[in-house]
Amino acid sequence: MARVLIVDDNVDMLEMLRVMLQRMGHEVILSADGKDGLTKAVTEMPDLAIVDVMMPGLSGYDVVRQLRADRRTANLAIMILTARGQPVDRMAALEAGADDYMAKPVKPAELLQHLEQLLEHGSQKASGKIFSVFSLRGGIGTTTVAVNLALLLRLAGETTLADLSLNAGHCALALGMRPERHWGLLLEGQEVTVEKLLLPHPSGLKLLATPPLPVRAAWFSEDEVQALLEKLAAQAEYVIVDTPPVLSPEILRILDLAYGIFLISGDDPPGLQTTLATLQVLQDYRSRISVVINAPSPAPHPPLEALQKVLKMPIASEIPFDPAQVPALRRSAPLALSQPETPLVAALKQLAIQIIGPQAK
Amino acid sequence: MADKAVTTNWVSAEFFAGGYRISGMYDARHRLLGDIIYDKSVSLVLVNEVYISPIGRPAEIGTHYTNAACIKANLHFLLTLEEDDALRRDQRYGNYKLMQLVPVVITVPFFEITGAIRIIGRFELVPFLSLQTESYITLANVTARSAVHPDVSFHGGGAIVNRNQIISFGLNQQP
Repeated sequence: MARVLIVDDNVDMLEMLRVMLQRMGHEVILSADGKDGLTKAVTEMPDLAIVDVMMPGLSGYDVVRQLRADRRTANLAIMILTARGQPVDRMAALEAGADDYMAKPVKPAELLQHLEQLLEHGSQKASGKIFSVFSLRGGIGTTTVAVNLALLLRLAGETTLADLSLNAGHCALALGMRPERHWGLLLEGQEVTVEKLLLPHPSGLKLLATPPLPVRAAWFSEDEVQALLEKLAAQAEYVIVDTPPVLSPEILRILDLAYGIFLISGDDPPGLQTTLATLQVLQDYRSRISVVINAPSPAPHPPLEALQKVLKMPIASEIPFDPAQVPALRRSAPLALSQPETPLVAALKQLAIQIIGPQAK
Repeated sequence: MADKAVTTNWVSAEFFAGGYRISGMYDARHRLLGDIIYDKSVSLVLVNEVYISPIGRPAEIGTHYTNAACIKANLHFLLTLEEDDALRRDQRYGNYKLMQLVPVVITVPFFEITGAIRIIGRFELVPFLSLQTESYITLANVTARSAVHPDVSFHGGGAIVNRNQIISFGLNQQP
């Protein structure tokens, strides 16, 4: 299943394409003008965009040029679909940066064939999907979620867990690994490739470990963070980033690049207050944020509806307090591997299915 | 789902006149495009979602109008994707057993148009040009090459050429 953005000012055409693509099992995002299309391409992170050329205001060519110029959408598969079907139009579409071109009226079978080819080609050239596991509040189980989620996702495809914690993070510890190589070597200017830094876990998961000591020197720049994540994404289907709990420009760049953001929240008043404030600050990322409630204690928990009312958004998953987690941490035996039937793993499986798609069931 | 082109009663057409390419959608629910063009009592053709480009930069979208009227007498020719869309009702549905397609080359301002005219019986160039009372000629399988930029050409299943804009008319004899 792919996420397809359709940008066309013709309502009939939007509706026709929506029905056609939904029948194929794709998720469809509709946009009736170029400006809105550009916004949705960034906020909704589609796999493919179908763009009409002749639209009032911003033409389809302009939309394609701007999509290509934006690092967040530069690799998006784009098809131009237009009533202008002359060779010069085809040339203009390809020059603007479109991957494919079709003239209206289109035959459904032909259109679907083009889309499939484009999606296939796109998936070959595109990199893996980056997911950020994030919270501004410490001690809420962000690393536990990141580690176990990554372990579950590795069953669906090659997965890398990137521990970008600045304060000697615990992903390696949770996995029972003693890393000698870590991303700190890049900061030290050592001549080492990102590939060399990836540590294989016996489960098949790859780990980019954090330095063993808190980082005191300057961290990566925004562009360096982006380059690092793009390299990781080029080699794995899924990249789970245990994201540092700050909102610096570098961390925002991680969130920019993320296909999805799992915002981990406690269900106690301080936890909810932090999450509410985070959501307020990350307004532009809201469509990609999934709130995950991680119960930190066995105390009684407020009902889900009440939490959703407070946060004013749906909650993607509620991870119950799991007493098995404490001994699992002590033994460096993540629950996804050692006790896959526990409630924590069951809840995370739902998140993994959300990432992979319904076929994962 | 049937493998049928997604068509409505909207005809996508390209109008060429005075060094401009005018792309638009003609609403054929009431009258066929061919009927409107050939109708001597009508001087305009109304088009929707109109985009205008200069012939020198034909892919560049210059101006956009939601609705526009093209003055028929000033049009040099128009192109349609399907041949049927350039035909009058009688041309479209008539049963012409002796119909033949004669390849021709027509020169109009800014363009050299190659295509085929639909003729019943024997084709005679001079009578065809001098005796016919219609103001337009319909062509099939059309390529219109720009005289300004010979590497730029436009293709269509059909075309309607304004006789009054024709500079030269030749038979396209294949060697």
